[in-house]
Amino acid sequence: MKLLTKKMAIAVLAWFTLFTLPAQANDLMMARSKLPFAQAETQLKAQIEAHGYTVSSAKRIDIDLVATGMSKGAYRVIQFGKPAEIKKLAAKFPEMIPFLPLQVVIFAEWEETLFVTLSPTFYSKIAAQSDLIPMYTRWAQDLGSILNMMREKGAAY
Amino acid sequence: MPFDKRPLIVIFVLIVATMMVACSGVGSKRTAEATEGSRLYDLYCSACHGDEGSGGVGVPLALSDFLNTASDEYIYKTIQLGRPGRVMPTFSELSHQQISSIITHMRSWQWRSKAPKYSNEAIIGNPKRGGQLYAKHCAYCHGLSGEGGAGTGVTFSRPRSAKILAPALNNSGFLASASDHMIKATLIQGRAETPMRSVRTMGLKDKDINDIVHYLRTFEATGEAGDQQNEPRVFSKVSQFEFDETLDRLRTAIKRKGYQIIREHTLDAGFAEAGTENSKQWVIYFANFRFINESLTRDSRMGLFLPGRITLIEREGKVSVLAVNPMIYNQLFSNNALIELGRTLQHFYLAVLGEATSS
Ligand code: HEC
Ligand code: HEC
Repeated sequence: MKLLTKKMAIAVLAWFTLFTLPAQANDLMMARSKLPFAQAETQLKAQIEAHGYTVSSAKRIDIDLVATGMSKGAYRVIQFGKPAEIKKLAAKFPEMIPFLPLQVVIFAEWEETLFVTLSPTFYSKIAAQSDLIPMYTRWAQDLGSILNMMREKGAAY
Repeated sequence: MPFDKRPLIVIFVLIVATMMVACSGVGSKRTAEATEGSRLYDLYCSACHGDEGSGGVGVPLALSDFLNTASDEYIYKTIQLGRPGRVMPTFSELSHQQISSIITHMRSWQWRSKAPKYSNEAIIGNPKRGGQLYAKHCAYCHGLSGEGGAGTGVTFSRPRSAKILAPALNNSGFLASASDHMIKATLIQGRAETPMRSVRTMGLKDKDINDIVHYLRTFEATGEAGDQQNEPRVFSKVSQFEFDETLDRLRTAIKRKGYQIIREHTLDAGFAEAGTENSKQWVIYFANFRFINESLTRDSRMGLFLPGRITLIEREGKVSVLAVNPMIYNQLFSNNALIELGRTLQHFYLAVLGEATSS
């Protein structure tokens, strides 16, 4: 009983923290960096890993577009996560599986690079269980911090 | 008579010091607000509008013709209401203070004049005549019903040299933010460096302008695509077949529909040590040229859902097939240009899931 109340208190606290985090517009987080694409991609992977996540893949998805000359091929989807978290989520919440692992899309816009990712508020709508809130909160902080690093790295460039 | 200048000097020093403190006080308060505004702008706006408001996905915000005709109230409401369905998000979660500081930051791009203010009185003209003038002078850029130019930004969808997209004038966010008098001022001023010319150069007189402004008010405000609010985010179908047979049926169905399978692996590939992967969570990625091309030309952020993906899982003896419902794309990106594509892809996904899971 006592344990339950404590857990509930933590959940309630975490819930409010989620909404007092830098409030996120809609369900996307976006950033622009002055880094050119190739460096932005390397930096992004390094930042993701520095925040304790494993990068599981970097997909190119614009092969066909390059063939038509529409783009310079500067488009990647970086997938990442914490192995234990991804495993637990996939086991407990199958409806989350199509959105796993986490990913950041990165593409060039002229000399600059743009980053787009689903925000944890989006995930929290799919699996709204209160015991997941501390994890969403941390994701929001980490993603926010990773994107901020990319903005700043660009500024120094 | 000897004159002691010391008290005067003390008074003078005091006055100067007081002025300096007072000025620096005002200055630092304004600077603090501008710094906060700059931070918030970077966080929420620069990805689309560019670091210095130079444009990109969204229209440029630093144009002097824009800043000189846009009232603070217009910018404030535009931030709050967004342009639903036209990519510009709704920032309803930002506080009054935060929106104000973003505006302060945007005003720092402006050199000469101060923010204009307009009366909120309606402009009454002849809307019927305004409609005729609109069809002649405006529709070829802004669309016959004010739906705006097609597409989103410059990335992928449009070459770098492409002209700035004409905004949607029938958008609920625009109509609720702009006062009649501000629209009128915008038409008279035009926007140098964009395709939007002053209507004076089109030979339009004051009365004509009033007619057009009145006509714009008759647009049926569009925005939210309401009927999709209740769509499920994920499709999940239980298979009547075993895992391996369902997988084969999935591959066949995908290929039959003209898609190429690009990659297949376990969900934990890249996470689990080789040999310990969970083979009962299997992801298939597929695509074809048209699918990727149409997705990215409609919204360059669509890579979040590219290539196409279906996941097959076995859980507690039940085999199911999962996919994201493509009808969520347009809500997620606030981009109505994705509705048609979403509908087409939804048919495709449902057909493939159906073929894979039942005979
Ligand atoms: C050649 C194409 C073109 C024509 C013709 C044109 N516009 Fe525009 N208009 C634009 C573009 C592009 C912008 C966006 C400019 C910018 O980036 O600030 C714009 C901006 C505007 C805006 C400001 C809206 C907003 O959200 O920024 C209004 C109002 C407007 N136009 C009304 C009209 C009307 C009324 C006419 C006809 C009298 C007209 N325009 C003719 C291209 C055009
Ligand atoms: C996801 C991209 C995106 C983001 C993020 C975004 N905007 Fe926009 N914004 C747009 C687009 C696109 C338009 C033009 C809509 C149209 O064409 O109908 C626009 C239009 C505007 C306009 C109207 C401009 C005019 O000419 O009248 C203002 C003002 C504006 N945005 C301000 C902001 C501010 C401030 C922020 C951050 C708080 C922001 N936007 C964030 C995409 C974005």
